[in-house]
Amino acid sequence: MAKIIVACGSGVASSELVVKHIVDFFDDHSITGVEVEATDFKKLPDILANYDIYVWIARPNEEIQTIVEKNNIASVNGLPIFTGQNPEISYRDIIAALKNM
Amino acid sequence: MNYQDMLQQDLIFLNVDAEDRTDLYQQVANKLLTLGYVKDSYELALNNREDEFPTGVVSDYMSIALPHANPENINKPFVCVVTTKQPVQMLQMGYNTEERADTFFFLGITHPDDQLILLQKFMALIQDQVFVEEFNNISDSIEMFNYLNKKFK
Repeated sequence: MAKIIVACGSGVASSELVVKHIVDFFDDHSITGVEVEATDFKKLPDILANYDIYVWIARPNEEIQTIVEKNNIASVNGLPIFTGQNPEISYRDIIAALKNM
Repeated sequence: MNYQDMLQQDLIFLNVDAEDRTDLYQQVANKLLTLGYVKDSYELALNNREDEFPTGVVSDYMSIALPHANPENINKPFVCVVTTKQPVQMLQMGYNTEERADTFFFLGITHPDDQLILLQKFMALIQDQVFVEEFNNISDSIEMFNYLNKKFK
């Protein structure tokens, strides 16, 4: 099963919102078998390596960037989904990453 | 908790005279503390969070910020609506680029799941040109409360 992690600064709201949008998008497009989870920046370094796609809302720091590169994780800008401004840009990247797996 | 209950008439502060972000956050944190919504630790937590992870969001019509601190600094959930006399220099979420915001929705979130819809609502509203025009034309806090209440239904 493909796994997506969405991370924001504190994990109180923005990442949860983006998870909800992504799950809705998958439902609407009959995309199944993808797990989508939210976390915050504190927990992210410890768990990131377990995921296939990393959707960022807060700017990834160097530590995160290194983990992404080392583990060959697809990194997608989730801000368009968060703000609702051209979310198709993020969805296109997520779909492309899923296809590449 | 119903997200609509988070909007409170005593948490709407329009046309606040603030020199900069630090000044604004201090003023708002003091009010929230006096009203019992937050703990002593809130102001510092709010500033630290903003420094580390900026909360500014820019739409075609509006430049806002959604300042918030971790749940442990909050006593009871709230949305505090603030507009400023002069725009305040902020940074945009994720991109860390500059913006000048004059509208602030301070979010006091204790349980993310319950209050998602609120965040979603704000994101939709700031991209609604009619909303932004109406919002910007309101200068009375009671009128603003009634207007937002209606919009959040």
